[in-house]
Amino acid sequence: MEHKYNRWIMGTAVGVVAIAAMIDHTRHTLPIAQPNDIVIIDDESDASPCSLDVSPCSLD
Amino acid sequence: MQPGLSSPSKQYATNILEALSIFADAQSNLVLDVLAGQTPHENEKFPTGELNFVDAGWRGFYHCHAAAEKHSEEHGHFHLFVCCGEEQWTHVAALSIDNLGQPRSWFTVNQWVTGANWLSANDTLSLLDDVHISPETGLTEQFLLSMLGLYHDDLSELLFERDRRLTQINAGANMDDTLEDRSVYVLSSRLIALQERLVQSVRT
Repeated sequence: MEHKYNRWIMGTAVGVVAIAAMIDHTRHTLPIAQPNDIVIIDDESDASPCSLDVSPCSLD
Repeated sequence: MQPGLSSPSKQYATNILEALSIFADAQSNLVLDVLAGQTPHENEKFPTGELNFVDAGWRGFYHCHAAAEKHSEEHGHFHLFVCCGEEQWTHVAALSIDNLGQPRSWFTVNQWVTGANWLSANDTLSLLDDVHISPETGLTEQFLLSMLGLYHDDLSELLFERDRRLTQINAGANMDDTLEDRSVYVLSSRLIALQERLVQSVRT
């Protein structure tokens, strides 16, 4: 598959306009994240009801 | 041989431009790529099974927080972790993405947020020098690793700022408590102007 933008970036000079156009063509509205239906109630927690008992951004 | 992440930025800029050109042709971007047509749910990680960095020196994922917990201009963010020992990982930074799928900022977080091993800025940065981008690396992964290279100096400043901020907050208290302090979330951040950075880098 030929990528039309490749012609612009393979040369020695990459124009500001070419880069702007390339980025512009990757702007797409992302789907809105839906709320999670699962609610975890932890009576052992001594933190606020909205606290996170596990790391919210952990690998696990 | 692919350059390490502290090499000159032109190669990274070229990698990103190549990825952008493919995304542009496919009417996609790095978030749509990892979502693969799925509707995201809050805190759900993408892609399924994590990002694949091939050389196993990196791990990462994309997710969205609940609207009340995030910046209004942010859709979600990529968390990027580098290997710091056998099955050990440390968080380098998160790349915030706006609602149009464009990188908007880098930020660092407190230890409790990711639960990963905590390394100093110096130790974390030393790990970035050894990382290479495999030719087999996927498009989004190549984009992200190249972003780490392109923004190496910024990330260095961000990580040192993170450590300074923690020290200020800690103020002689038990550092373990500060690292677990739920009131301390983002420790440093920096907005991104990718177009300007790319133009600047390919001209050098």
